Amino acid sequence: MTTTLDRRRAVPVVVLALVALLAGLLTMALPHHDADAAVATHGSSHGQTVRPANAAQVAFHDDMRKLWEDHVTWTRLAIVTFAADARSGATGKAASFPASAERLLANQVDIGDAIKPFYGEEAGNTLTALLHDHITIAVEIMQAVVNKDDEAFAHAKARWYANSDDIADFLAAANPKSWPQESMRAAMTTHLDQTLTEAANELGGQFAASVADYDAIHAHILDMADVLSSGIIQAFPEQFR
Amino acid sequence: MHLSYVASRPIVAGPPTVVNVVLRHVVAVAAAISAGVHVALVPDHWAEGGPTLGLAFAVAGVAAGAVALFVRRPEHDVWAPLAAAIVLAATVLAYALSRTVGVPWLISEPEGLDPLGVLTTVAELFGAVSGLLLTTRKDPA
Repeated sequence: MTTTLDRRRAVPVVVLALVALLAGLLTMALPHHDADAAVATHGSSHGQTVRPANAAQVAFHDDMRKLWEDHVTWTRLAIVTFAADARSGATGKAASFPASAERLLANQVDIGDAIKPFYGEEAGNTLTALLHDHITIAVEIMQAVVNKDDEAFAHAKARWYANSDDIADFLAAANPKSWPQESMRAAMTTHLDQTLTEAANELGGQFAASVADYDAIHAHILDMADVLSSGIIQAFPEQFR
Repeated sequence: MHLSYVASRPIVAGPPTVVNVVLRHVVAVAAAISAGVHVALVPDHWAEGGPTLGLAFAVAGVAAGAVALFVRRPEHDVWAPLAAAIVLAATVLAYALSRTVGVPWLISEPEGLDPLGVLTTVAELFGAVSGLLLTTRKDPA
């Protein structure tokens, strides 16, 4: 039974509700994470990313996009020139593929270098080595297609996808919170699937389809770049103040 | 007053009622603050850390809200202050772990201190201590 004294001693529920409401509103109004106090979260197809909120974050976000746009752009040019050379039979100095391939390989060094300030020299070199294999195995695949060598194609393709998992695992190990293994593997596999389709269409003379493939590749790689830059910004907030 | 009398005095023997009322208010308000903050943080943590982390914040918020409602009434003094102290202490511990070594299954990488988190934790700490004190006291009949 509730006595008058009990009622007088009790804390009014209205007071508690108001306190909880005010605390909640204050929480929503204030930034609450030291690491991402200045950034807001938003979704991407590969996970959560942070929206860059100051000049340093914007610059890094843009630099990362540039690196990965270079990656898909020079990959496309390598595919296109490889296919053109194969059709024309151009070799040596007449071939246009080597210049594009050289620039594409330089991009893998650039990407590795981009993570060195955060994960160290060795990690950057490891990523470059993995991406170097990503490119050279892709060339093996295209060569196998041109040679109509099914066995070589299957072998190279298997190694290419294994290398893709290695890249994803490397990234997941570096930053498991922002780059979970499952998401990174899925993102890398999509990148490979898309690029393989693009190469197949280009080598098969389906040029309009190849162009459409590139649009999808471009959109996907920008998502990936945002996940990567966002993960680094969240992991190393002190370097973006 | 003889020292043996003080030593043998039961800890539940009649402290002033006003102290209990103040302690009850501190516990209830601290739990209400904790509830409001944790519930408000659910969407962001769900988005950033996934459903598990989001649910953990929801559970913490609901638990804090429940103990706030129960501890506000003296008739629940048998168990509510202790329950409030446990919930609030667990929340304080979780925050401390999240800022030092991480929380198993929830937060793998420790985060830095943030003003809101620190203030909320201080309130929860006061609430937990007040809850414990309240368990050692009894209102006069």
